[in-house]
Amino acid sequence: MIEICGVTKEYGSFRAVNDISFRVEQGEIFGFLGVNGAGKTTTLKMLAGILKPSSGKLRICGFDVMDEPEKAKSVTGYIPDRPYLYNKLTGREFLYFVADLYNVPLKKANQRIDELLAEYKLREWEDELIESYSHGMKQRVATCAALIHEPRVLIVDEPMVGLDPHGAKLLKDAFRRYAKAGMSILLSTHSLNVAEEVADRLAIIHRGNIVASGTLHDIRRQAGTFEQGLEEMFLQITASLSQAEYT
Amino acid sequence: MIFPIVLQPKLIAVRARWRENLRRRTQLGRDIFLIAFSIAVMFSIFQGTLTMIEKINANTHLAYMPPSLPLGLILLFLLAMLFFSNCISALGAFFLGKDLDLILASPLSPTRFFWGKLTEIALSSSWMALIFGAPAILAFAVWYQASAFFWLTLLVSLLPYFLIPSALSIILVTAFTVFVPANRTREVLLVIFALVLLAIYMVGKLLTPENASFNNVNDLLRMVSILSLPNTTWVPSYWCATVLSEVLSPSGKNWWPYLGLQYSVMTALISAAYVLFRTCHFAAFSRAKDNRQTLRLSSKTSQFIWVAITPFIPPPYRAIIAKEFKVFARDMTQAVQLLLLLGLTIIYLYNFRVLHAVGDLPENSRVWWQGFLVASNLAMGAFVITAVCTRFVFPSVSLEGQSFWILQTAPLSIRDILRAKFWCWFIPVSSISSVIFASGALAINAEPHVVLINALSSWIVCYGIVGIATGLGALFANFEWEHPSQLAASFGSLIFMLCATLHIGLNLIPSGTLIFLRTLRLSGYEFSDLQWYSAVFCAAALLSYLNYAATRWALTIGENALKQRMQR
Repeated sequence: MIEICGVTKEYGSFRAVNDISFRVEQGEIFGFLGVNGAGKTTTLKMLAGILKPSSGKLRICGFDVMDEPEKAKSVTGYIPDRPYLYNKLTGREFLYFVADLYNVPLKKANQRIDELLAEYKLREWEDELIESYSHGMKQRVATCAALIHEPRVLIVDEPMVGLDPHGAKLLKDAFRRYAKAGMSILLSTHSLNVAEEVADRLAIIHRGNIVASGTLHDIRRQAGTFEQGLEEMFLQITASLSQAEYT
Repeated sequence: MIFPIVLQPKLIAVRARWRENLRRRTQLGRDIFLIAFSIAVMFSIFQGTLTMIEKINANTHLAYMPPSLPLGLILLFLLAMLFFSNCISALGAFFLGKDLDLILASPLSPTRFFWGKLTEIALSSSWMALIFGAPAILAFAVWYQASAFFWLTLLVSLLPYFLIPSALSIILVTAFTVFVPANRTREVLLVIFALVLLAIYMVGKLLTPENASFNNVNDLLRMVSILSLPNTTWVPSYWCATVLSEVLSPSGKNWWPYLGLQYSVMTALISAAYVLFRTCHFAAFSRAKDNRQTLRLSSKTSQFIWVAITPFIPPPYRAIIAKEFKVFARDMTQAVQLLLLLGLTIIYLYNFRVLHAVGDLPENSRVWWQGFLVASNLAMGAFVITAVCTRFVFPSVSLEGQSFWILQTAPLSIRDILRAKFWCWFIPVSSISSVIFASGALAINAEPHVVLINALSSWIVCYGIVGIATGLGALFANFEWEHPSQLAASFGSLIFMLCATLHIGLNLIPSGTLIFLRTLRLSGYEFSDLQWYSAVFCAAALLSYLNYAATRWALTIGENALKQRMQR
């Protein structure tokens, strides 16, 4: 469902993402791990059609993101790390706006909006301007917006930032449910418990390179340890790479 | 140092952006072109003003005009512009800026905050007026062979000229925010607008041109001079104009009382602004944060109605149009800008109305004067539309701000986004402009078919101006703005205004030629119907093509610029 083949992104002489490749299957949750500045957000932005790769191919449900961007975007939902929304719209107006952008008919839009607002506990705020929402509420509105057109692929950048424990639990449960229904989810995070809890497979990106990937078991094998949790392994892998680069 | 603390981040950001552009060198060619273009326009203003002074001095037998009159007119126009942009900047700098939470939470003394913000709004509001005004003042200096003392006086006199509107705008904006709850702003603005209309009507009654008699051109010029209003002693532009013209005149000695008046009023206003700031700013700032607005219709009902009345618009376009209008209607700064612009437009129309008193001129002169007024109406109306577009259409892409990702990730091309923005603004701006153009034509007693042609041509001209505003707005898009007001006062908006001025000049070639031919026809010159209608057809075709080409060009460069951003 998501294919990334040899993708590189350069900003001038700086290489933010270096020839990475991976694939996310239908109904799979793929965790994309890395420290701050590792290249996670850049990769996700390229997939969402916000940034153009310097080289390589990105495909979503068979549509090339650069050659057929409208088709790729119509089957994709994107939740950014910082939910910048239109503050002068109400929550429900914003969802109508997104529904119209994705050509969702009004009747269907009404039904989806009612479902999503109820699921994400925003019903009593639906007619308030977004500028009066808390960060967590904005994050939930952004999530509803990404789901309104029933996408086949969901790209999520740091989903738990700013969410309270109830919100975080709500989202993790929802991701599992969506994946079960056949949605492919690419989840970027530096929260290792989240990745450990919900992801079927993982990739660790470090300074633009994928340094480990596979199931948790595969990564343990690559790290040469079967006792450690993901957090210890992650720290071990990234620290050893940083040390090697330094020496 | 008092000033730099609040301004430092902004100065560093400007320097960093400049260095980055130099480092990349990709925009160097464009920057050089734009600077050269700006210098060319400044030179045109200089040359135009010089020619105007020359003409005035060559026709002193018609009506004597001292230098203070045209100088006062220019400074009055700039003062109106300054006051307008200072109000918007003050609202942003003191109440709505993104940096305010950080600054107010820091241990910065209120005095330093006040001076920093005063400097910020004075600088951000004045630089554009300075660019347009400096060549005009330079022309006066050259014509009257100014001494070194003039340049010194100019510097000393311009400081209060720029600071008075800044201080006044802080007073007005603070008082407004103290007394008006944020969620009642729209209602209060409507009441103020109604009062402004009433006041203009009352002034208009006193200046009814029907009561004036015009026996010759001299009377007419005198009437125009009075209505151009630089002779109002309580207006700060008059003081500045008097100081400068007295220094320019070899016998002038009365400059110092006016300079003293400038400085005393500036000091009084800054002191009043400071006192008001110290006593009311915190309360007013807290009130401005109360942004809960009540909707008259639920979101569900309004969407149902909107979809029902726009079945012919594709849903993505419909979404962008609805979003633009809702965001616009709920943004207090936009409402204030709209109010001020409407006030200026009505004043323009009223001044223009006076010019229709040409009935008493000799028949031959009357026809030519009427032709000149029709052409002026087209040009002035187009400038009013440019002002509207500078404030509302040019910033529309940048106003997406950090939320631009929503449109970028939607299944829409950049071209579609720009087209939606274009159509969203073209219809309302053209509707407003057809009212302005038709009112201008009615005000000068034009015949009904001329009024109709004026209204129709406004749609064609708007097509071009709105297109240029949308395209250049995308080319100079700044999604990292602190406050919306800075978009209309940016370098990009200056370039837009210069391009729009050039475009209006080009539009005047076919329309002016047609008006000239019509005037010739009315003065007795024989044309066959075939010749006349061919001329009309050619002018209309040229005008349409010119505006179509301008929009296409601007939207294409805007689209390319936004696409290039994806590669950065």
